[in-house]
Parts: sequence; structure tokens; C-alpha cells
Amino acid sequence: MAAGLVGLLVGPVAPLHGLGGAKDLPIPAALAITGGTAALIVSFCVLVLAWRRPRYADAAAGPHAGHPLPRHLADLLDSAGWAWGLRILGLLFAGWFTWALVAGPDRVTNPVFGVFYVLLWVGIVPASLLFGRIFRALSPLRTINLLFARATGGDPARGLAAYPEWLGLWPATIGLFAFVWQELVNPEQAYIGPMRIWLAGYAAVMLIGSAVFGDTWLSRADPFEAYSDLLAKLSPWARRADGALVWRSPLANLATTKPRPGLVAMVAVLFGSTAFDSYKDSVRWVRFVDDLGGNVELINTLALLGFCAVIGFSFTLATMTTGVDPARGPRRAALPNLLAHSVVPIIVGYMTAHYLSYFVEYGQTTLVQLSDPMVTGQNLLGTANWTVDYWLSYHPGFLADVKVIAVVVGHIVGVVAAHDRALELLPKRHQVVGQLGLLVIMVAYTASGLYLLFGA
Amino acid sequence: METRRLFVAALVGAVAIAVAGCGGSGGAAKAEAGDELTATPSATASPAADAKVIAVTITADSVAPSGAKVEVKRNQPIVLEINAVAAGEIHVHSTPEKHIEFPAGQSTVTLKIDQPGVVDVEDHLLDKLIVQLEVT
Repeated sequence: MAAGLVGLLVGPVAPLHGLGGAKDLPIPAALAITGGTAALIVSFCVLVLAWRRPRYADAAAGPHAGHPLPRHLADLLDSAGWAWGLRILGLLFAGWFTWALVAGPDRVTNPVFGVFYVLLWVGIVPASLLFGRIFRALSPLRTINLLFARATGGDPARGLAAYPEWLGLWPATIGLFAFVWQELVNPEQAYIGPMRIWLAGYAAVMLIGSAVFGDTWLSRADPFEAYSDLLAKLSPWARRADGALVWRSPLANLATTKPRPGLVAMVAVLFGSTAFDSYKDSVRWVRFVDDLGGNVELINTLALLGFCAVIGFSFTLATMTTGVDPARGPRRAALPNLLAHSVVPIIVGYMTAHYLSYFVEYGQTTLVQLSDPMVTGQNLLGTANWTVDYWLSYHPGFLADVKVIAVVVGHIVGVVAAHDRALELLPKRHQVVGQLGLLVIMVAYTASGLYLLFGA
Repeated sequence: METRRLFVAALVGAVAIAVAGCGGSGGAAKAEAGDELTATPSATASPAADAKVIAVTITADSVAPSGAKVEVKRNQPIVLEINAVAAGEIHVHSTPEKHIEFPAGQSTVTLKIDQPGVVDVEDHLLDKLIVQLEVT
């Protein structure tokens, strides 16, 4: 099954001059696939028997709305001073980064690469899971929009026009695809010129868009903000319907994800690109590209798009293979978006499995490099003499266990979220059978995901 | 005032893109941090008994082996016996990276990798994967 699914996806990629040296060892066990899929099926059976009522149907206001934070803490976190502190922190860091980006040399030891590909792209996952919607709190572009609005006497939330709601998260999805393309396909990903151009384009689109549509644009179009907001739904932090800051079960929080247009495409890009990343370095893949000849960049782009499309279409199809009751529940076509939040824990599982050692080890390297943004041997932040701890790489067995557990737990949490939503949406007689399509696709994802982690 | 903000935003955006474009992809030779090694023209010295010997052939447009998987132990000597039509450079994507300069003709280099992981060994000029070392 796994090999078959993967076989369909085979596309080609050339050896990249990737960042960060050695990659993790493949995981040496077919046991993981069997165990992982079995765990998924068993949890589904347990859920069907024991979880018969939707618990999180009204998570923003109902009994699972969460516990309010202590007064003083809530007041502090809601204060203007706190918000400005984070904004200034974001601006300072962005300034430091921009200095290295504009004036620093085109060397892989320039910290910009580690900041962009590791601290930002990978670090956004643990940061958002721990602290909630962290990127929007720090986002230098959100702050700049705010400052522009203040300077011109306007309201940062308002632009020339209202944001068209039918666009939903599509702009952010395109932005995320642009990022993963830059990271995984662009053969010059580790050169500073293409990165400058990518980031300048990003800044221009965000600033102009937020002047036109107000800062709603940033929520829907900034790939990092939209991604961080989505991940924050798995954090314990939330706002109750009445606006109070609360902490609540991450599962209840996840159920409050708004099913905007483009949500399925967004999770498909996040999930599909990670799968593509796992496969593109395999020997089989590299040889395939080499034998094929042709324009490597184009083939890679199509393959990346193909991975995302397969995830998006299979998920859409699987969630729609159920009976519905249009008189009381949602239309069939609305189902994929209403269930898309269940892919978020799966994305977190794969991000963990795929990037854990890279994040820990290259992340440390980046902190060291940040002291020397001009790569002249300076120690401006006092981190230049730190040494990188490669403990994880020297314990490949432990690393492999963590990876398998992350993927399996991600899938199980996803199944729980989907099951709870299915109970809420589907008519009684379709509640079990209606979920089978989704279960099949989840098992297929787990099996092929673990297969990819084996080093294919 | 919204129009004024748009004007300011557009101006800043345009300047950012212009700066990025001009300072842009000069494509200066990118020096990577790493260990520099040089393959020496083959002498008669035979490799250590526990060494993993890999014969590498590099022509003007191809490498052999091409993307083979090779298992080695940590710190096991890896001997690359290079036969190349022209001088060039092999990149070993370990942590840290190793760069091996080799001359035209027969040459040999010995390296060791301490850290477990999957390490790509590529011809730099052709940008082709020669072997993938699985260091356990």
C-alpha cells in the first residue's frame, strides 16, 4: 500500500546543495509501519465505541471553553506595554537579520540561512505550540503596517477596501508554496541573492496588501502568520467567545479552527511538501532524475505540486465519501474544510519527525552564527564561542523512536479531532461508515509517511 | 489617508525589491566552511585492512558509481580511489563538510566520518551524487 502510493508520486530531483551536512539515518524497521497503522485502527475502534457524543462542538463558549487566566497575568498579557515589547523585539531581530541579509557576505556561515530555514520555518512550530499566535505578535511587517497607519492618520485594520472573504486563506497558501519551493526546489536556496529577492517580494506584497485591505491581509496572506495561527490552535492558549484569555485543552482549541476557503489547500501544501522533502534526497529519486534528464527545476516544481495535490485531492475525496443530511447538517462539499483541522496534528507530527535533529543542531549553529552577521569573526552577542551539541545525531536509535512516535501520535490526535467533528456533522446512521473513507486515507498517509522516513 | 499609506507601502516595497535586485545574485563563489582534503596521485600504499574502498570514475559528464548506497561504520577509513579525466572537487556533505580536491588521472584519498547519519558524496562541478554513505 505504502510503496504503491509512493510509487505513484515518484518524481525527480537532483542532489541539492542543501544546508547542514549529514542527514538522519533511515529508520530500520517495517515494524514501525505495521505498529503505526495498527495503532491508528485500534484508536479508531476505541473512539467509535467510547466517544459517542461530540465534545468540542461549541469549544469557544461551551463547557470546554477553558479556564480564564489569573487576573494579573491576563491583564499583563493584554496590556499595550506587553504588545509593544513583543513588537519591538520582533523589529530588533528583523533589523539584525536585515543587516546580515543586505550587508553580509554570500557564505553559508552567514546566519541568514539558518534564521530563515531553521529558526523561522521550523522554530515556528514549537514556538506556536507553546506560546500560541506568536508570529503575529512579533511580525515586523504587522508592526510596520501599524506604524505607517499611525503616521498617515489611519487605522491599521482598515485599508482602501474590505478583504474579500471568498479569498480565505488562498493567498497564504500561495505564500507557503512559494516558501517550500524556495526551500526544496530552488537550486540556489543556499545563496543569498535569491533569498534577498524572495524576502523583498514577501515584504512588498505584505505591506502593499495591508495598505489595500488592512491588516486582515496579514492574517490571510502572510504565510508565516497564517501557519503560526493554525498551529496555535493546538496550543493551550485561546480566547473565549467573550474575549477572555483562557487556557484550554488543545483538542478543544483545535476544534475552533475557522473553516475558511483555502484551508484544505493550505494543510495540503504543508503536509505534501514535508512528504516531498523526505523523498527528494533518496538515492532512488536522485537516480531517477538523473536518468530522466531534462529541466530539473521544472520536474521538481511539478513533483512538489504533485505531492501537495495528491494530499489535497485524496483528503477532499475521503471526507466527502459519506452520506449527509442536507436538511440538518452541512452540504457534502463543505465537509473537507470542516474536517481540515484534523490534518494540523499530522503536520506537527511530520514536522517533528522530519526536522527534529536539523532544528536542534542547525538551530544551535545558527545561534552561534548570529554573533557574527558579517562573517568576519566577531562575537557581538556573546554566542560565538558556544559549541554545538550533536547528542541527537550520536543517538540514532532514540532519534528514530521519537520520529515514529511523533508521526503515530500526530495521526491519532488527527483521528480524534476528525471523529469528534464527524459526530457533530454527520447524520446518526452515517457516523461510523461515513468516517471510513477518512480512516483509510489516514492509514495510507501513516504508512507512506513512515515508509518515507525509512529513507525510501 | 488610506491612499497615503498605500503610497508609502508601495514605495517601501519597491525600494526593497530594487535593493534586492541590484545587490542580487552576483553569484560570487561561495566559500563553505569545511575540512579541505587533497587526493594524492596513487602510490602503491595499500589501504588499511578495515578500510571501505570505493572506486570512483569521473568523466566529463558522468560519475560512477551514480547514487549508490554504501554502509560504513563510524571512524572506519573510507578510501576513495578516484579516476578522473580532469582535476576537480568532491564534496562530502558530512557535518562539517569535507571538500576533496583531486587531480586528473588516478588519485587516492582517505577520510573518516565520526558522526552517524546519511552523508551525500557529490562531484561538485557536475553536481551529481556519487555515493550516499550510511554511517552507523
